[in-house]
Amino acid sequence: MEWKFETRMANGKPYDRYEYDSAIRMKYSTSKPEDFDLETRAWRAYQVEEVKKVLSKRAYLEHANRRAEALDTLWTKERADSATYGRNWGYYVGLDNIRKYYVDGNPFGGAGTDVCHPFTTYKIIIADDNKTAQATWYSIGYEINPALGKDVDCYWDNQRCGADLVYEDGQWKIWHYFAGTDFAVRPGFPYASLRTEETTPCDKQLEKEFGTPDVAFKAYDSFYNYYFYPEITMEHATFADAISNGPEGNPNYKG
Amino acid sequence: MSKHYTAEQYADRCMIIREVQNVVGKVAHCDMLADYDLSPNFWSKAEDICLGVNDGYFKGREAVLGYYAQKLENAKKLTRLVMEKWADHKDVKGKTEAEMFGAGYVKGTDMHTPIIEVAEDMKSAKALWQFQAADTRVTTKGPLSVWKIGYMAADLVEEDGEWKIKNLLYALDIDHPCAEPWTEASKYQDDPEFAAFAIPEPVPNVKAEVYKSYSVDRPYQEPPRMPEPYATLAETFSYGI
Repeated sequence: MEWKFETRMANGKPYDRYEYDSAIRMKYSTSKPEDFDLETRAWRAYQVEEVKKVLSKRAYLEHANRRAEALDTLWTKERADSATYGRNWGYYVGLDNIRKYYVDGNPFGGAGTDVCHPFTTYKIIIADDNKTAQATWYSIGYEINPALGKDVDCYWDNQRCGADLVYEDGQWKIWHYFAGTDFAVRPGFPYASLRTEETTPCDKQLEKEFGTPDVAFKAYDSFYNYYFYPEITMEHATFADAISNGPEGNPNYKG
Repeated sequence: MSKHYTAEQYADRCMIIREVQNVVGKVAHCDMLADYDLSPNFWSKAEDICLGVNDGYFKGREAVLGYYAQKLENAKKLTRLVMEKWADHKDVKGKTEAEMFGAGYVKGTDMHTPIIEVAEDMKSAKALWQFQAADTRVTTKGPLSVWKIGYMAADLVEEDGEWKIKNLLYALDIDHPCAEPWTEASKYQDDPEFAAFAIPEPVPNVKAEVYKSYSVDRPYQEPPRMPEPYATLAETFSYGI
């Protein structure tokens, strides 16, 4: 990996461009902005805003406790069978199974419960073929639900997230969604006091809430620094399993 | 299916989204820095502007400007009280009130999770963000950091080529001191030593329960309504009253 610098032309004027060439970019995309015609470049710029809106609406509908609506309006229909929802302990595969976990097993909605998983620090890339999009982001969220033997308990749930979206009938739809929890601790709990061999105080609750996924394996782990998945979203020519936010893109997946 | 636009329309709409983000971002920065004398610059010149908070609305231009005027006076008063309380502190001694403006106040605000809809006629926009803020100031309980987490929603209009706020709504979901569980009563109590720091917040001229911040017995509550695709501002709902 290295930083490359070059001077390019735009609107008849030269401009300086630094480019971060990663293995993924070099492997999956060789295109440059000027390879797209003006119409397509404008369309692609706007689609980044559209993807932002879809993933923000997902967060909003979850907070609003309208989970069925989130699945029905924001998730893929054409690729329902291969849709995935992943957490630290594995993946639910297929919209029907995702619904069983995400909607039927929803622990929120009672008095004193609350949930917030915002969409922040995002990076969004539209594939060169304009058929899919990828995003990675960080989410400093919180959950307040019946937990740890109490009527309600609250904890920060800090997640590193990734998603693949597909363009269906003129709209972006979520295809693969992954949320890896780094810390789940009660407000005021000092992170630094955790020993590496300990699970964080609320992980057990999150694991119980997630249940037994269709594809169970250690998909995310924050014992030692940040995990290597989901990988930072990079420019790519087309979607490939190797960069998927579904299980196939997870280095721990044994398929 | 989403609409298809020309390249120029896509570019224009992207620019509007950026302007909307910037204008409301500037208002949030004014709040962070207590620069409330600047805040009115980002509002529409219309008389029917509206600022909503959890317990009501500042309805009308006079009420909104009054809100910012009082917030500015409150920041100045806090500065004076901090200077009196710590008059012998090396950072205070010999300083003027203007030099010390903002002492005792820090409010980091992070706006995110944007849902921004630009009207089909491109003369207005609606937006909704989540925000997380740690409001730190000297209070009647002593110096205290309080989580202020919630939603900012806005209606914006184009006036003379600039984007301005017509309605703004702050809906606080979490309003609780930092570093302690929100599901328990706060351990922080009023301290007579800091009684002088009782500085009342502006009071809305239209009292209403707009949004309720978290308590263990709060019924489940939806956030403010999401913007929806729309043609003109007159044809959609309003974040004001």
